[in-house]
Amino acid sequence: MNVDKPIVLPVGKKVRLLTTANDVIHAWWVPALGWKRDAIPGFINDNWAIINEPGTYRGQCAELCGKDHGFMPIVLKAVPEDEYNAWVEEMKVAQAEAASGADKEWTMDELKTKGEEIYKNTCAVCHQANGKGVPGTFPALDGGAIVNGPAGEHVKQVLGGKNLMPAFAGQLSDADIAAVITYERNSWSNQTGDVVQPKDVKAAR
Amino acid sequence: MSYATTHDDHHDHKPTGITRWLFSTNHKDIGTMYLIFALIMFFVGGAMAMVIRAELFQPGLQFVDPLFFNSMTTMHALVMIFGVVMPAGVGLANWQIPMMVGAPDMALPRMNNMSFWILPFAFTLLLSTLFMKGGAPAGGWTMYPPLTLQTGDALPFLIFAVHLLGISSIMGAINIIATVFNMRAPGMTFMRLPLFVWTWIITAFLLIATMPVLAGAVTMMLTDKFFGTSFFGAAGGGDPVMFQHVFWFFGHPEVYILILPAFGIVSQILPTFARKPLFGYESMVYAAAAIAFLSFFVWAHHMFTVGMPLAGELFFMYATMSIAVPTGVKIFNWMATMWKGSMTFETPMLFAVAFVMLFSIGGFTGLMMGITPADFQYHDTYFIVAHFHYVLVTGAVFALMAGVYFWIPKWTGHMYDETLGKCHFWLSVIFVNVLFFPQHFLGLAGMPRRIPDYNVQFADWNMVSSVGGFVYGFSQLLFVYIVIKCIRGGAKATDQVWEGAHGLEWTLPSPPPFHTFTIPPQVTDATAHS
Ligand code: HEC
Repeated sequence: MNVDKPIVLPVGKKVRLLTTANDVIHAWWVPALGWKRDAIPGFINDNWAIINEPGTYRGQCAELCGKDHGFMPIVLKAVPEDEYNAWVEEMKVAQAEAASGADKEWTMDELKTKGEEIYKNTCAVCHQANGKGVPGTFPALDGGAIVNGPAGEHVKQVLGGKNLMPAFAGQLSDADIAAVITYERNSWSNQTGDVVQPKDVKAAR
Repeated sequence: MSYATTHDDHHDHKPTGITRWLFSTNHKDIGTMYLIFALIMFFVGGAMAMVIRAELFQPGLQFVDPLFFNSMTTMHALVMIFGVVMPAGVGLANWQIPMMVGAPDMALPRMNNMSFWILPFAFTLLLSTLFMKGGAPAGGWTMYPPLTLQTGDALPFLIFAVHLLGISSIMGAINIIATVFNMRAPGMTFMRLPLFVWTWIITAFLLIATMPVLAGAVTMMLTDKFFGTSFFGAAGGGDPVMFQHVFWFFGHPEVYILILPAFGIVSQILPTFARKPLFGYESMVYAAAAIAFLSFFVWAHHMFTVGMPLAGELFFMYATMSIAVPTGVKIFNWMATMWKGSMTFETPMLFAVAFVMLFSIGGFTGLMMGITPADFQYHDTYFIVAHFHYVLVTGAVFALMAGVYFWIPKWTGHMYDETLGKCHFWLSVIFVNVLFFPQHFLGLAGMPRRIPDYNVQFADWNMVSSVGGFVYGFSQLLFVYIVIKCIRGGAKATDQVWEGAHGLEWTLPSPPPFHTFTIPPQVTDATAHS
């Protein structure tokens, strides 16, 4: 099992790992590091490790966390320190870009491209890549009432969640949410033509 | 010494028809109902286990979707704990305790009726959730919030079922304590009580102490879900870990509630078939009491990974290991009882000897996990699954089976089919090990528990384990056949049934009349159990 964003850590150095959670309790476990530690909403747990060998380390969630508990991999890449520093720089640049994205006006195409990626990574497990959902459990977004209704309700649903649908306010940035909503409102048979901007999401928080 | 006053019942008259069972206040009938209920639930919970093992037969998702898989693990545990091991233990207690202490019945017969009849209702509530919107509870039998708070319509049903089961258990426990404390026959001093009675008194006190704690925990969950409280919700200032502390303050004594009666059964059987008195009777009593006492100080070893202060980790580690001392006393006493005995190996003895060996394996893996730093690896893997199935299946369930084989000739007046009994034993003992032993390897190799799909590196041992599971599961049908056959007929059992059996219940006819010991017997050292 693989992940989209592996954790990158330097070798030969004592690193401190903090764990917490947003929704339910998980447990962070990479067997090669010698311990597991729960990630608990409202708590910050810490632990440390010194990784000697560079390479890829794998693990997975060890605390029952819902239907996808069996599908929650952890991938950790241990790299030499200079490589690690380069990665940190890269991430800083990416973060700055994302932050500036929150204020700018996006075009429909930009939002849809970004939105598709987020949809695949975050929403498709339940609503399926084709937007048809799973009858009886996860509603179809293709032709869905909220998706084709007022945009404000749609934003509220994704930020706050509802019943089995998790809240995404803490997991996704304003730009991410704006993008995925714009994508949903203009994909499959949905043709609302609405463009939701990051600032709209910010206002709704 | 209190003499029980009873109407002088000369003829063995029993009520007839359905009311005999619905309104029963007879300890023998209620004991039978408990045992039949437990047997039915054994197959309900077993069917769930079969679903789990079928899904895990190969990597990938084959038969069920992950949410249903989680429901199966959750419900399997709840059914097996609350629907099988506990009721079966109470059933044996109902049948045996009055006969063992020389009492005409349980002290509170109407309450006895109610504590049984609550069970079918509680399990109707619980099992009906399988057909509900959002599915049956799927957050694990430990019901940790916040995950369990996401349960759909099933949540209140789960909580009320737990409440009912708790009420039933508390009433059963009160009844046992009242019976043993007040209704012992003249001369039946505490230190002459059969060990099964002793372990049940201790279990009863554990039940009274801990079931309300569980009820409190689930009630807080109920108000969190429906009445806007935040006991366990971090967003409202609550503490999700607090639930785990409260739950395990119940949960650890609970595992001794499951195993102490099993200790008692084995302590009756080994001396009988070794034809020697139980070695170290007094130390057995004190060891059982010590285990029960210590069980209140070890709960956090179930949750070492939540992150607690070093002092806490050390305390719970040493407290946990100290339980190995009284447990070791018991194991050594059982071995000493068998030592140089003239042993024969009828089915109850086979199960009891298997219990001693296999329970010890479970005990040792328990010690391994009591070591905090080691538990950081073992926790929530298949290693723990292997551990608790060794203590609960080859421990508690084997002892219950042993108890049924041991006493069923007394209850029915017929010997069971010894050849079939031995077949049942050998099938069980071989395949239960095929089922659970490989799970140690899986856990040590890093397979987490409660997952429907796994890495291909775990494929081989999972397949072996599933094969063991299927054969073990289906061989239990043989047990049903043996029991039914024994009820319907068979060689006539003598009053003493077993050559080496001592104690009041073996002085009664087989089967015993509907009312026994309406005139209390006089107990002396010679007629006492040990
Ligand atoms: C864990 C599964 C799950 C995930 C992941 C998920 N959803 Fe949902 N979603 C649901 C469920 C269940 C509902 C129905 C909630 C209800 O009304 O009870 C729902 C409802 C919705 C609705 C309303 C549909 C309607 O017409 O009623 C929208 C819009 C929506 N989700 C968007 C998203 C977006 C955007 C994402 C990704 C960021 C996402 N969902 C991720 C489970 C999920």
